[in-house]
Amino acid sequence: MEWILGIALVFIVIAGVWAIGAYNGLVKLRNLVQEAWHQIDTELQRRHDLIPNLVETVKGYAKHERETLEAVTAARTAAVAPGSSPAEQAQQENILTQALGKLFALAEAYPDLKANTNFLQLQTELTNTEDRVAAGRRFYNANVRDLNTRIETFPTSIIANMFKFVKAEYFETEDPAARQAPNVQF
Amino acid sequence: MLPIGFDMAGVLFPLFFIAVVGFMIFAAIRGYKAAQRRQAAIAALVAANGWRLVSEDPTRAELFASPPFGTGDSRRARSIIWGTIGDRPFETFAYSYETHTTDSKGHRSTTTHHFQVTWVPLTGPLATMRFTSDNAFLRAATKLGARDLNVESHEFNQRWKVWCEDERAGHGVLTPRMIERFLQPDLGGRGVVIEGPCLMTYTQGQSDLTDLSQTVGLLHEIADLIPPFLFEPGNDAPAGGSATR
Repeated sequence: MEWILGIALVFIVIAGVWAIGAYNGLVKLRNLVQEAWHQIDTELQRRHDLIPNLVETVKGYAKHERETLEAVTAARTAAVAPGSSPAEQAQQENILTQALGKLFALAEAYPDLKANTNFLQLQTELTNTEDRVAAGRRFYNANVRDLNTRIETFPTSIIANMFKFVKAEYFETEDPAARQAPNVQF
Repeated sequence: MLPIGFDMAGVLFPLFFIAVVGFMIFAAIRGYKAAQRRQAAIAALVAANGWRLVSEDPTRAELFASPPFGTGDSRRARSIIWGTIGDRPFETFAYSYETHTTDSKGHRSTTTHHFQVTWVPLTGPLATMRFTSDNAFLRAATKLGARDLNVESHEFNQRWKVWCEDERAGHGVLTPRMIERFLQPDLGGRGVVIEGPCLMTYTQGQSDLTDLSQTVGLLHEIADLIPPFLFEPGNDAPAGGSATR
């Protein structure tokens, strides 16, 4: 009888140690996902901060392109609105990316604007920031993938359900690095 | 019919011994001649391109910390060549180290492992990253908990095992275009390492350097695909690997 109790005790201890490990692993991953999201948020903030300067610079050369400039401003305002989920934020960022694409396309028609140092600098900074956002997105999504896989796979799913761990949302934006860089001569 | 008292083993053993020694001498001469041919080919290549050649440099054997460096003993770096291809610098050398095994009878055998190492400088230092072609040993190690950086491409994850000192920087390097580049067949069978301000590739065996320009070209292609922001100050990249240059 005693040996049965002994085996049961060993089993309970092993199961307890495993459960603690699984729980801590999930907490660690959840924190990593949150930290990665904050990093993206910082990079997005950096991106949003560059846009007013860009719009002002373009306005100086292309005043009558009001519609495009207003679209960029409106997309930026929507993107900086707080409290968005990753999926909502991604949608806003994609709209902003499209609006910025139109802004850079119209710059083609203004040689003075294309030669403006401030404009070129802002364009470079924006490209760099987009690369940072893309890198942050890949890191965030990799952590989301790890967390969601742990939540869904057995036996960690038992602990995840018990302690109400929920799957994280992916952040799916257009990756600028995926696009072939256009060969534009300024 | 053999005469009575004929010692078969007494005759065959010396014959076998002579045959073995003869084969070893033949193999040694053949190896020596092959090495001489290789040296001549390398010298001709260096002279034709205006590169520089040093026959041996012990410091080069400790240039990197990542495998295949830092393992075994009697590490040697030979035929060190440096120069430029298309105005872009490179360095290549033959690297070797020895490992030893002892069997149950106490016989010690030595194996020499040969590699051809080629590296190009990067704009600045990055966190160490190692790309190794997937194999059964690595797959088992990953299953046992060894870290492997996974990306959004299943094909890439199947083909490459990636170890990274800083996973955030690793995801920065692994852009979709970089992943696509690593899926090209010309990188098959190679190991690729980013360590400090160097991008290095190695292949097993001794090379006559006929594919050197292709190797340097692919290294520069990879270097060009690294997003520039990763080299900017304050980007959490360490101040270089443990390699001394």
